[in-house]
Amino acid sequence: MAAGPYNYSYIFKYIIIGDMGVGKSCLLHQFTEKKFMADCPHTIGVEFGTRIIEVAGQKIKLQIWDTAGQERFRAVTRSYYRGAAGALMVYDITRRTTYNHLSSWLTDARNLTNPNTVIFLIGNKSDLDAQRDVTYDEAKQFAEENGLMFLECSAKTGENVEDAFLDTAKKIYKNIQDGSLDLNAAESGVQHKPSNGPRGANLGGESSGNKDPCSC
Amino acid sequence: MDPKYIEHDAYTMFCQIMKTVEPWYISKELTSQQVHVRKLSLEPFSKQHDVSPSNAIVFKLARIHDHLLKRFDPELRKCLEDNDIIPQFYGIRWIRLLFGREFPMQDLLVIWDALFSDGLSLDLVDYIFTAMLIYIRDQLISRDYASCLSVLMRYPPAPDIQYFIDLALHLRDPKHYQKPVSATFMNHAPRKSGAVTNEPVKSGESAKRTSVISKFSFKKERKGNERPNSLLVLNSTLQENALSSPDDRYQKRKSSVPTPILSSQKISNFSKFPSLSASSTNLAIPNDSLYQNNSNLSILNQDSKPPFPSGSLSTPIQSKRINHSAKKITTVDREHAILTGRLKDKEILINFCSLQLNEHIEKLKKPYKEIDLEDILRNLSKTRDILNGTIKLPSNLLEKENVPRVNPIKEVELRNVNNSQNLE
Repeated sequence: MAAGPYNYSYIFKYIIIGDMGVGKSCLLHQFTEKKFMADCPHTIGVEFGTRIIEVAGQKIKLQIWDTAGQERFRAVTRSYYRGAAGALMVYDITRRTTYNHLSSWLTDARNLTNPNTVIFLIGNKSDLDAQRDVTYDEAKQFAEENGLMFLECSAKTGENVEDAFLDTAKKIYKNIQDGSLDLNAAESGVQHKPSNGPRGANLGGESSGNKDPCSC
Repeated sequence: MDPKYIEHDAYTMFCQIMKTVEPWYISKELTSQQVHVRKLSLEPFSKQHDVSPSNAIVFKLARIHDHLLKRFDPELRKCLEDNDIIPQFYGIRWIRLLFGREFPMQDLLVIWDALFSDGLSLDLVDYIFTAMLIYIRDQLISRDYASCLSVLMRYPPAPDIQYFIDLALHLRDPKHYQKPVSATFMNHAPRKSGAVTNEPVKSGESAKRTSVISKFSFKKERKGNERPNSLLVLNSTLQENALSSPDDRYQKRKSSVPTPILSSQKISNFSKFPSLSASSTNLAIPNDSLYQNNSNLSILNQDSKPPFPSGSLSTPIQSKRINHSAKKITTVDREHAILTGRLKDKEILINFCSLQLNEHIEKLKKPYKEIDLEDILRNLSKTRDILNGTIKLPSNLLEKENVPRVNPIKEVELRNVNNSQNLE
């Protein structure tokens, strides 16, 4: 995170969705902090994390939104879908219900994001293989039928977590390269080459500078 | 309160609170058709609005942004708006959990005491929300989207929790609650020493905000602090609620805040007088009286812990001191109120005059023939006389609350570029 915070060429917006307790926040934490959060509190509303990664020699900043899984928060979380370049859809391999709800999450994701949003299916808690309730093969098949990328991960051990986030970025980057993702579209979820300073830095500075002398 | 029924009472109080809080948890699920329709209608707008503005929490948040924040810190609101940061991103959690994730437990109890004793409507929530935003404004303004969100989503440790309450009360009712002077020193005066280390009126340079980083380091010093039993606190605040006027109640509660022992150097780090900087430094406020006032307030904080069962009140010498200092406090408080009033009047006067000057400068910019020199001259002389003090300000101006005025927050602005930290 420390190396040249502004040295990135793209910003990708990600969202993480899925039922309550499947480990969305833990995946985010594992990816951004490289640590497992053992007793993670319920997400209320939304959480946010960033990390800079490298794809094909390009530095990409990921802005990751981690949404609340509780059903009652879904009406609010819908607004977070807009403008996502990548969506990580998570279920818990030890709880079949979380897998059964995937089609509803997928509907949300499809309806509320743009057609180019890369959706990545994650079967979390792969460390708990003994309690497995959803087989790898059926999830793989579901992913293929719906054109999703798929991996089983463990936020606890960190297995495949990097890959899930990185593969999503690679796919988005590929979409940019082959022109299928239009960067100028308002909700592409991708920003190219931010200027050296943060966006709005000059604006904010100027406006306050102007106001001060005659702030009556 | 009968100790036998503590559990019952706690449950009843909990239910009462949850009744108020309930609507903030309910969000109507829209049917997919509605979502579709709304999605279509939202398409042309680039600004992010929630898909279901029908629910209470979103309304509440929008109201805070569009009314309170707009009124008290328009610049900050504009900055958030320009960054497309809607209050739902961070505010849902702030409000639903009554700031439970934003502050450590001991601080949270202070906030909750203030909220619950203020009335069942929890009306103060909106103002504390606004105060929290204003407190971190330097870390939000002129920063990019991700930095802003990181600060908002992980609220930085605050050295003085009382500041938020003081500022919230001030924002809601500026006539009765004075703007808190700093984020710290009032409640952090050293316990045993007569010498007060605060340096209330400082030169322009030091009156600026201390850097946020130093506030952070301050935080750790407080960890060991013990809080009174929370139930007892609730109990006594409820009693106070019934017995005393809002002001008294507030004053008492204020003194209940734990006063950690700190090195004097730390405290002076945090002393600052933002409200006296910039526009008002030339108002010739006798430094001594303000100084004295602060020192007396700190006596209050050291010695009187009225309604709470606490060991610090036990000796007779101490209670004598309380009586003595209580008298002192009332006189000093009165003086203080008068001075604050005068300050405010001066501020209104200055703003009035600058408006006048501005207006006439504009008039002078017009083509020569349209200028009514006589009128302008008359008005300018009047303005001069008001400034000189030979003419009084039209009294109706002093009554009005919404006289256009210098945004007080501006006075403490400090563009601290070093704050970049490693939020990226």
